[in-house]
Amino acid sequence: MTEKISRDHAVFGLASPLGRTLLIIAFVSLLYVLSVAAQAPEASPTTVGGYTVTATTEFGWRWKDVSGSEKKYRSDLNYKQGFRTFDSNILFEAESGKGKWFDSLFITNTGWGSDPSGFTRVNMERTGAYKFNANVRQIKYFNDLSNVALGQHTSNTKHTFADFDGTILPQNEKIRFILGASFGNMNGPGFNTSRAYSDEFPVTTNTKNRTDDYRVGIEGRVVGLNYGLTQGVRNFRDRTFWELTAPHPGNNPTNNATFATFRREMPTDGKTYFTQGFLNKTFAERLEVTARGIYASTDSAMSLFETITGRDNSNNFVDLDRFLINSYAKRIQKRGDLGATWMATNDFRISNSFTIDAFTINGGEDLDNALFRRNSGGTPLATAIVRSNAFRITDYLRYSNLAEGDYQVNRYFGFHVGYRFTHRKVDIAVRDTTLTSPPSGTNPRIVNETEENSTHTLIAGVKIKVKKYGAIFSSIEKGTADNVFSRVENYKFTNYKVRGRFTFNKVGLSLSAMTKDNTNPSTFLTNPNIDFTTRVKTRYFSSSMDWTPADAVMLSGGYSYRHLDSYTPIILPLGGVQTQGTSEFFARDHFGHVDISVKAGRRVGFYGSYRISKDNGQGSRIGALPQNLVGSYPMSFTSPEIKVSIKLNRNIDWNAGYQYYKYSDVQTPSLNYRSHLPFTSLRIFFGGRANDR
Amino acid sequence: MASSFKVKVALLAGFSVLVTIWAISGSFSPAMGVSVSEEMAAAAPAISGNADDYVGSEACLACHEDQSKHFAMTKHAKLKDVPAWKDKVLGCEACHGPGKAHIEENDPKKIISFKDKNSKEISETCLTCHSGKEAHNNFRRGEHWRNDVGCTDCHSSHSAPENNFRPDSVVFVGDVSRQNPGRAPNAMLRQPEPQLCMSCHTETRAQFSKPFHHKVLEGAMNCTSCHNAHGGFESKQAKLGVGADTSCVKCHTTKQGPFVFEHAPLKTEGCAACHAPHGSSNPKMLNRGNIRQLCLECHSNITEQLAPGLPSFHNQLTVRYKECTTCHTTIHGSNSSRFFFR
Repeated sequence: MTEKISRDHAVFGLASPLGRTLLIIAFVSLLYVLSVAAQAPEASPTTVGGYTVTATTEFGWRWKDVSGSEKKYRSDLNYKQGFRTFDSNILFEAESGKGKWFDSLFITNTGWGSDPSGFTRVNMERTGAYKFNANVRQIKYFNDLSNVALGQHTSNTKHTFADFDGTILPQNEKIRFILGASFGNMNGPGFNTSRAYSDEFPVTTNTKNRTDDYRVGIEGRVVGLNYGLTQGVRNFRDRTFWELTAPHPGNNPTNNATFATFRREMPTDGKTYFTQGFLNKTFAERLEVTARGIYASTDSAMSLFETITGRDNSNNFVDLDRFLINSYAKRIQKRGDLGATWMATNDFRISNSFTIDAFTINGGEDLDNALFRRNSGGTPLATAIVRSNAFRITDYLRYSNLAEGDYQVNRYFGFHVGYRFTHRKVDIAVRDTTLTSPPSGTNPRIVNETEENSTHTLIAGVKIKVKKYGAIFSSIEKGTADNVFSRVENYKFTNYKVRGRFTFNKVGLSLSAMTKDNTNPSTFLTNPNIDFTTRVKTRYFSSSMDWTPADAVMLSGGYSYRHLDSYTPIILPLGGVQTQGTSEFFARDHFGHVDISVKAGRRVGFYGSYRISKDNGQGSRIGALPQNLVGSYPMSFTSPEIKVSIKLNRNIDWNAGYQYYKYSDVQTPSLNYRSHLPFTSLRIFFGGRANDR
Repeated sequence: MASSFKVKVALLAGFSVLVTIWAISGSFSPAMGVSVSEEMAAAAPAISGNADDYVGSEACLACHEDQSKHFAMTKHAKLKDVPAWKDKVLGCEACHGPGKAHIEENDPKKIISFKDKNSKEISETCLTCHSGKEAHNNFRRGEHWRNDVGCTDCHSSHSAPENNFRPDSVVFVGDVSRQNPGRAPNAMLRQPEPQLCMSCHTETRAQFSKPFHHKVLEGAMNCTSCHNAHGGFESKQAKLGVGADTSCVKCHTTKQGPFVFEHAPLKTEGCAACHAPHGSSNPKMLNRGNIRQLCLECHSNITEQLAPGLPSFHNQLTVRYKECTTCHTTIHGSNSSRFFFR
């Protein structure tokens, strides 16, 4: 397939005036910093108020030049041009080992600025008093792909997450106090679609949601019994709204439906309360028992208000189509786990894990729809009022039990054998009533459906240690697995896995191979005689090698391959006729990478890498008939990178590098892109660099 | 169905009876041999239980300078400042046992050495102190234990931290610069995540290098954001999110629900029924490149309510109907449309 690359979206090219100006500014800044840094005294750890401070920070500028599909580039990578911070950290350590407020404070930070993801992490503790961890992240999502939902679902949002976790008296054995809070919010514009009048209309969205989580708990050990109890709450709030900014004729070319105006607000509020506790005890150093219980109650309430004006699919004028919907849903989830391990000898153990998980989701909505229309001649039509309600109850119960034993024959050989049993029952109850229509055989519509299944799985594995050079792990799982919702019968599966990890002198080698065979003998609801067996075969091979021939040189590389054949009988409507067909999906997915890092002398370092991900997909296979769907995602994604690092003095390194991304989509060439991302940065060390310490 | 229920009850009851009898009898030790701690003690012949046999970590420094230096960087070394630990054996002898005989007789056999022990034996030593926290409670029943991956395969109590500052990728968080160079990594890991995990789980590097992926290599999240390396009751050692929810909804909050109209697989099969959680070439990290294939493989008139077939007007010869989510926009669940329209 011919690759066609357009340069319509190359906005910040190196050749642009803006790019040149910034390059000059960066270069002048660099010269200035170098002149100052050149006079820096010998580096030594800085002491501030009884703390030794060491830090390193890197910041710089990245340029961007994208040719081809900028939308796909941003959906995949979203690296922007501009200032960014790289891996930076600062460490405060009490000189005496014990500080007044903290013994150590460690802050790491990377990716802020023109990167799509950035984080700051804080680890702070005073031994014996408290431990505090914070993790603040921000991810800029961009999605605008022509091959998803007709290119009409897009987003350009910013998602900020923050987790704060503290432990009071972290080393205290009898009781420790746990405090935690998490915050998240997501904001940003996008596009979505709204369906009405047998048509779909692209509308703008403004995503706006927020969560707050709070946790408090205790854990410790009393009379040989380890315990923990946590109480938490999450508040959820969604204020996303949808609207139409300009009239739209819709996607369906066969009718006249038009949206003149559209607005939907559906504020949603939710809350989760959960209580979680565990008990753990080891009896006589032989039997270890752990019990855990979780109770969670989550509810959500929503009020929808939606208005539409325009024309419907009968060409009537819609003066107002108004929806009022109130809904409420609640989920109660209860979970219990019991695990026990009997350490019969140092080499032989028998374990059992039992889990029961049950939840009920109970929800209902009330709908009130009023439609005010005029016919194409302008004559008012009778107002159509529809009031309805709907209720759903989902009951879920699943328990599983895994019994297993492991035996270490000697230092070099051990094995394990186990058996897993699961049982699951799902009940769904449906009741839909149209209040403005007379009762009939289908009003209310009542459906009760139950699916119940059990699975049995044998697991086994061995570990062979190859003297001092490494180990080989191999395991098999064979049996049946749940998938009751997608296919009424259990999947029959056989999974083999072999992993090996070896070290020879300065070479580390990892190899793994996996096979997964799944079949599903489900039946077609209205004709059980049709062969409806799904078959999925997956083969993985993966390897990596690290070689450090000298302190100054490190090489690593690896290759992975995934081979997937999936065959599923399906029923699909073609021209109004339900037709039996097939859905096949293929992956021939290769990934390779080579990385090299070299320090040339005392001042120069070099890093280079090449990564390629290439999926050949279905190859030349095509569906013979419209009901034979053959799918894959053949593409290649290449990303070489080079970087040169020059040690200017004890405190400063200057880095310059270049990244290149090339994406080639075989089925949708309009998504192809190439991006050039040169960058420069300074890394500054405070308190000496690692090699000096 | 009744028979499977009986099997379950029999299994559970049998195991419970065995455990109960065994626990209350108190007579298993003579029958089964000495306890774990006694066997560990037996590995060090000089152990007498006498406090005079403990010489303190300073005595080890003379010969084991490197280990002592690196041990001093770790959290273990700081326990000496904690009042709750003042009466306990700390430092080298906490794991290696009393060192007096070893020093006096210069006999390597008179100290507990882990070189000749298997992973499980080494892990039992660590669990002496580290069991009893929820994250560790299921280590003996976890995938890593099952495959004989022990504590010291990932953690190091006194090996040298990486101290060699080599240039690294500007995209992927490096295993050196991510932590403060020269300092023992957090949790005394041999390498920081995700490099440590990927050294065995090599296939995940390929998955995280796909066009659509969770930003693990970039450092925005870790393997342990979703998995508990120490085992757990969940499949794939996944962590739970909020309460008993899947870990996905901790960040993907709009998918948590509950919804009046649930897309049932979301709650019953989990997110991985449709998504490849590590990464994929397919948009939205879906398991199929084409969304309708994903939908049709379940919605093929297999069940009436749970996975109903497509109505006849969904003509699959028409482009509009090949893009299921153009209409069914709230496919994860809805509070206002049983067809997931809004």
